Amino acid sequence: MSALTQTLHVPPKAKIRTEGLVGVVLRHAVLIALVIFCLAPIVWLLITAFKPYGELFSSPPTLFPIHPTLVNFAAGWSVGGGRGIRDSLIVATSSTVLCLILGFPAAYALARRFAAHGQLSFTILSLRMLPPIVPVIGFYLMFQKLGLYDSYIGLIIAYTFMNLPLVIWLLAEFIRQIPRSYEDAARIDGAPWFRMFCDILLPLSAPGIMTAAILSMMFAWNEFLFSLVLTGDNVITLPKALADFFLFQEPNWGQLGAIGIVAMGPLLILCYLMQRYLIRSFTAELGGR
Amino acid sequence: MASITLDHLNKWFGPSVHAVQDVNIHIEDGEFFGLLGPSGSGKTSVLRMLVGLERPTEGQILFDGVPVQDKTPQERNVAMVFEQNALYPHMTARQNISYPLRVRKASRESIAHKVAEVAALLNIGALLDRRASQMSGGQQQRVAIARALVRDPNLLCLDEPIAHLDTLLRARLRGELKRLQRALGTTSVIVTHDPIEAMTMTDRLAVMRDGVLQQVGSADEIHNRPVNAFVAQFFGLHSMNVLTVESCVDQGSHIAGRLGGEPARLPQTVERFFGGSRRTASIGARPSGVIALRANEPIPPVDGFTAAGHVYVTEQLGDAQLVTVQIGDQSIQCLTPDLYPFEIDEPVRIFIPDDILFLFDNDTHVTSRFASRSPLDEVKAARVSAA
Amino acid sequence: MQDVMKGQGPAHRRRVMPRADGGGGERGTWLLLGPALLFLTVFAVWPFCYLIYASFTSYQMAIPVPIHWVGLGNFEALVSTARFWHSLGVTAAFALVSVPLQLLIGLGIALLLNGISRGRELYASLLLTPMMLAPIVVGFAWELFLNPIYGPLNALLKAIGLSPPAWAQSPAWALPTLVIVDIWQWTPLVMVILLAGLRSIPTRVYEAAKVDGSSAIQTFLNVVAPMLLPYFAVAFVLRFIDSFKVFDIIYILTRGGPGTITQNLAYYTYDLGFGRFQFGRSGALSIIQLLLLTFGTMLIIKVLAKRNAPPSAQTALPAKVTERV
Repeated sequence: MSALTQTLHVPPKAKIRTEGLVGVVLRHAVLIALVIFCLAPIVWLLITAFKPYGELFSSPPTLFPIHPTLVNFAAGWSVGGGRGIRDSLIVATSSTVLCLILGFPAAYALARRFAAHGQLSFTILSLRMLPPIVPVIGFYLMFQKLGLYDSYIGLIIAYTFMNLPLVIWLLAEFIRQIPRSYEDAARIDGAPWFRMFCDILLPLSAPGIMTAAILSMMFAWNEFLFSLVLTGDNVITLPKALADFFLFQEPNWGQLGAIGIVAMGPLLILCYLMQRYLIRSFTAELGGR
Repeated sequence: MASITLDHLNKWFGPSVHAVQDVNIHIEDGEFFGLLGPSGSGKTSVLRMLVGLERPTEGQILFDGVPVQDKTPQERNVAMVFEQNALYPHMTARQNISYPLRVRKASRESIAHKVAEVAALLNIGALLDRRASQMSGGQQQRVAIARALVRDPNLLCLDEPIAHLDTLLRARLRGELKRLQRALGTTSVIVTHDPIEAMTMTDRLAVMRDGVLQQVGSADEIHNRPVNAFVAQFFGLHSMNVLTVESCVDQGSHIAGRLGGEPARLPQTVERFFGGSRRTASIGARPSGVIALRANEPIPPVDGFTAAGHVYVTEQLGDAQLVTVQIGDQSIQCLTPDLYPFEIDEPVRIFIPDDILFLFDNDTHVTSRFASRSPLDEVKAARVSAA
Repeated sequence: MQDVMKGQGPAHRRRVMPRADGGGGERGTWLLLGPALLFLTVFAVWPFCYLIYASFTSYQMAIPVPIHWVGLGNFEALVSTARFWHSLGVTAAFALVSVPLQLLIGLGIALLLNGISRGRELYASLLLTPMMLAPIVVGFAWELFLNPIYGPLNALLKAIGLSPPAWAQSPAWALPTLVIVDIWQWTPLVMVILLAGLRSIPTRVYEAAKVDGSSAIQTFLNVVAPMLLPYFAVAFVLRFIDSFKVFDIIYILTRGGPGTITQNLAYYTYDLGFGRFQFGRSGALSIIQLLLLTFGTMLIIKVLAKRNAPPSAQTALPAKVTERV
C-alpha cells in the first residue's frame, strides 16, 4: 500500500519538503471538508434527537441542546418507532433467511456446475436491475388477488424477490473461490453429499453467507417503496412509520431524529465494522487478477 | 490392499475432449506406481477415475479383479492426498485425521486409537491441535498423509503431493514417503510432472502424453530404453538431445550427413540406417554422453557422430558445466566436467560415441535403435573393479 | 465384456459429464437450482403478466366499470401529456446530470484517497456513511438540515451575509436540491468502485511509467485512465440504472412538488397507480421506463465496451460492488 502511494505521489527527493508537505496537508484538508459535508446532516439529526421540544424550532437554531433530554427516545418509541422496528425486524429477518435457504443451494449449483459468469447468473442478476416501481404494480395487483396485501408474508415475498438475485450472485462468487479439492477430499473420505455440504461447505462459506445476510438484511431494512405500496395499517415497517410520522403529523424533529438514530445506529456500526473487511476483500480480489 | 487393473480406460469431457485414451495398466499389490506426464497429459484424470471422483466413459477399473468403476470412493476404500488445500481449514489436524473415521461412524475409542497410531507413524503428535493455517506446508502435507492412511486404504493416491514445497523439503519428503510406503506395503499411485520425483520414489511408472499411455516400466527401463523421442526427452535428469540429421549422398556411395545445415560425420550405424531411401532421421544422446571438443583437441579414435558449431551458452552447475552448442539451426547440450570452462561463442566440435546414440524413426518418432551403453557405465565398471 | 463396453461407448460419449457429480449429476444441479429459479420465475412472470395486461386495458381499481381492451391507448394518452415529458426530463436530470457529476466527484475523491498514505481506510469508512442510510432517513435529515427557518445551513449562510433559497420548497431550487441530495448519497459508491480500481493497478505499472520518464499527468492519461475504464464503466452502468429508481427522497423532500415540478417517471408512475388507481396508465408508464432503461444501459455498455476493457474486471466487479447499500 505505502509502496504504491510513494511511487505515485512522492516527488523527487529534492522537492519533498516543500511541495510534498503542502500537498499532503492540502489533501487532508479537502478530505476533512468532504467528511464534514458527508456527516453534517446526519450529525445534525443526532444532535436534534437530544433537544427538548421548545428548542426544536428556535431560529436561529442552537448548535448544541441547552437542556439535553432523552425524552424523544421514549416518545419516538411509543408513537410508532417501536412498532416500525418490530415489523421491519420480522420482515427483514424472514426474507433474509428465505433468501439464504433458497439462494445457497442455487449459488452452489451455479458456482460448481456452470461456467463462470454464465448466461444464467447474468439473467438472475439483471432481475435486480429492475426499478422497483416496475414490479411493484404487478405485485400490488397480484397481492390484491391472493389476499396477501398488507400481510407480512406478502412483504417477505417481495423482499425475497428483490434480494434473492443478489444473494445468489454473491454466494456463487464466494463459493467459486473455495477450492474444489475440499469437496473432492470429503468425498474420498467417504462423506455422502449432504454430509459434505454440512461439514465442509457450510463452514467454509460462512464469511460469504455473513456478507450476503447483512446486505440482504440492510436492503430490506431500508426499503421504502414496496412497503409503502404493498402494506396498509397492518404491517408498518420502519421507513413507512417514519414517512407517515413525518408527513401526516406536525414534524417533531426530536422524535424523528431519535427513531432514525435507533433505526440506523446498529446498522451503521455493523457496516463500519464490516467495511474494513469488505473493502479489503474487494480491492485484494480485484488486484489479484 | 489390492492389485489394480485399468482395462481399456477412456475418458471424454464433452464430445470433443478425449482426455484419456484407451489406457491399460496393471499395478501389483503393494506396488508404488507413478503416473508421469506434462500437464494436460491425462494423468490426473486417470487418478480421479481410480479414486472414484470421475466415472470412466469407457473401460473398467478392477481392484483385485473386481470391477469398481460404479462404486463410490468409500466403497473402494481409497485415500488421496491433494497437491494443495489438502486439509480442511476449519478443522484441527486431529479433526482432519479423524474425519474419514467419523464419517464411517467408528467408535470413539477406535478413532482415538487409530489417530494416535498414525500420528506416531508420521511423527506429528505435537501438531494435532493446530489448524492448517498454523502449520508449515510440509507439516500440512504430513497431516494430509495421516488422514489418508488412517482408514487403512486399499489404494493410496497422491496428486503432486510435494510439488509446491521448497526444494530441500521436497527432497526429504521424497525419501520419507518412499520409506513409509515400503513399511506399510499399501498399493500407492503418485501423479507427478517431475521425472525426478517419479524416478526416485516409485517401483514402476507410466509416462503419458495427450491422454495416451506412452510407456510403462521401471525407471531404469524407461531411462535406458525409451520407446520414442518424447519419452526420451521428457524422462531423465537432463532432457535427451534429439537432433534431426539429413543425409546427402556425395562422391558415389559415401553418405555424408548434415546437421542443421552444417556438414556432419555420421557413425556407420547411422549410415546404414540411411542406406535405403531415407533422407532424414533423428538421433538422440543424453547430455552426459555428448563430448564438446575445443578446436585443437583431436576427435577420439572411435566410431561416432561429429559436427562443428559454436558455444551458444554455458550454465555452471557447480561440479559440472552444461554447454549448449549451436550447430546451424539446431542446438545440442552437453554436460562436461568443469575442468576447462568453455566460453560463449567459442568454436567447438561435438562428438557422440556411437554406442550411446539412440535412433528415432523420423516419421513415427518410435525408437529404432537403443544405445548399447549408458554414459555411466564407466562409473559402474569402476565400482565393480574396485569391489 | 470388453465388446459390450465398447458398444456402450459412443452413447456415453455424447453426454457432457459435469466435473464433480457429487449432488447426483445433472438432476442434482436442477434440484439445487430449482427452488430459487421457481421462486424468481413465479414472482417475476406473474406480476409481469398483470403489468402487461393492465397496460393494454382501462384497468382502474377505484371505478367499478368493466375493464376493456384499449390497445396502445394508454401509451398514446401518456405521450400526449406535458406531464409525461416533464417527468421524463426530471428522470433525465438524475441520469444525465446527477450521475456524471457523481462520477466526476467520485473520481476526484478516489484519486485524493489513493494519494494519501495514512488514514485512507478511516476516511473511506466515514465517506461511505451516506450510502448506507435508508433513503427515507436521508430525506428527512436533509429536510431538517435545509429548513429555511430552523435549519442550520441557512442560519449559517445568513450569518455570513447571504440570502439562501428555501431549497426544496422553492420552485427554482427544488430539483437542484434533490440532485444535490442524490449526489451526496451516491457519490460514495462511485468513489469506492474507482478506489478499488486504483488500488488494483500494480505498483510496477507506476514504477514502469516513472522509469520511462512519464509525468504525473501523462501517467494518469496513458496508464491509469485506461486501466480504470472498466471500473468507471461499472460505476456508470450501476448509477445509470439506479437513477431510474430515485423515489424515496422525492417522496419525503418535495412530494413531487412544488406542483409537479420534481416528479420523475417513477414518482409519476406511483402517483398514477396509487394516487389515482389508474393502473392502465401506470402500467404503460412503467413499461416505457423499462424500455428506456434497457436501451440506455445497452447503449452505455456498447460505447464503453468498445474501448477494449479487460472483461475479467468488468464481470468481476459487480459482485463486490453490490455492497452498495
